Amino acid sequence: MMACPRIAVVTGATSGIGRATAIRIARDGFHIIACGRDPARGAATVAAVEAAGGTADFHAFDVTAEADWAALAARIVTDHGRFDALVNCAGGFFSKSLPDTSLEEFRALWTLDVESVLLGTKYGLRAMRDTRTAGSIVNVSSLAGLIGLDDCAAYCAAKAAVTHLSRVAALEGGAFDPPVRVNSLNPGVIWTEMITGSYGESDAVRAFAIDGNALQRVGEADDIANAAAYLAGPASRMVTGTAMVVDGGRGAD
Amino acid sequence: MSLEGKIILVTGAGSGIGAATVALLRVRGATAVATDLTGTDIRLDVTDPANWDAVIADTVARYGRIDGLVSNAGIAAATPLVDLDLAEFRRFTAVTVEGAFLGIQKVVAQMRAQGSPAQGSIVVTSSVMATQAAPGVASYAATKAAVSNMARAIGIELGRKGDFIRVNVVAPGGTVTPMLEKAMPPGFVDNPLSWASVPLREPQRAEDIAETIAFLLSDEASFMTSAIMTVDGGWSLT
Repeated sequence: MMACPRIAVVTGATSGIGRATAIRIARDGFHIIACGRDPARGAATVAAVEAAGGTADFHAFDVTAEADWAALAARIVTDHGRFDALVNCAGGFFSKSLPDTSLEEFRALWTLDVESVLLGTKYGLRAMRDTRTAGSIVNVSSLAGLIGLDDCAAYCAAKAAVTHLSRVAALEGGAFDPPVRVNSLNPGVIWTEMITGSYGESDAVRAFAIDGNALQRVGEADDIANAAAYLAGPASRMVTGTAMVVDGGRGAD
Repeated sequence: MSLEGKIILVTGAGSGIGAATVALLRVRGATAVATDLTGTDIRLDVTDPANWDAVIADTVARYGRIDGLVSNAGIAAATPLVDLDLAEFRRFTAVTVEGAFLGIQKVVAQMRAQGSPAQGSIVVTSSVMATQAAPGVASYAATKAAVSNMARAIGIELGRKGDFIRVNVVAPGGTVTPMLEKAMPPGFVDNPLSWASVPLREPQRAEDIAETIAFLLSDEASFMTSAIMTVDGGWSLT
């Protein structure tokens, strides 16, 4: 173990893409601060990271609460003095036609998907700047932030906002010394609780998850975790402001 | 990000991004077959179909199969459109577009001959100039745009045919290579002012582009096809 390991924060680390990302980037030598609301599930993520040979702490936390982000950033600056990677995975989803979507539903998703990323990027940029870390921020958006998806107006709008906010953050982070990189990661349909929780796990849902992909297989959380590892680490040293699409070719046609 | 045991053909490997890619692929455990007009042991003129056939046959005879292709050979020049003659434009088309077309078509045929479903990964070197505009780059930009979207179309086509051949595109911004130094005025590359409009305030090195190519070739990118990976320090953002 290095005297001063690289520090990575992963939000939404209690399930799905977030948990897979925590396990994957720990393998690259990051110490993981796994964030989420549920301590029991957080403990399971920490155990999975450790079982894979990495190290992690769970940090109970609400991504939509600015005070929680401020406290987390202060703790990282004080305890670690560096902040190398932030992967904002936390988010939500619902499917409903636009005429049936209430303003309350729209605002709730906007808070969970966009305000969480705004706050994370804000406090991530601050802490990376203050610790003079050449950090990398990865905001998990969606293919739905780049193309339309039936009955997902609120989600598409929110993920488009995440994608574009990340581009502006890349411009601002580039001015820091050393520069901080910011990219969005735009997955296609990935087989996680976010999908099965909304649509179930029937053969029809599985067929939907496969058939729109050129590669004719289900996208897995590990596929996105591998991409997050690429964006978080030195292999992407000169990559900033991009929207990295990992969708099995779904969005290309 | 291992490429252990993979047999990967790289075009334009005599210098710059191609040479850096060959070096990195070898570090990652691959057998990189380096080809170019000059500067490599194996000569390949990507515009010549018979030359492709010979190089592929020779590679298969030597290593048994081909797992990957890095279609990287390209040319650059900065000529104002009003001074651009048709012969130069056609030369860009031949090397950048037809060269990639021939390579992908013939390597895919080889991959299909190796088993069903066919397996493989192809990466095409395009440029941010495929989607950005600048003076003097009409033939470069037009042919990079063509090769970029051709690669994406082939990615979809191969997936739909039940192959597991992935096709992706890397789109570098200004990268320190002999090709760039030749295309730009003397001193351009080493002048920090040349990169002042890049958010990360420096040019890419050939090694940076090689990292992205290696990622796309690897199984870590096994759910990626028809994707464009930009590596430009944020230059194309504004």
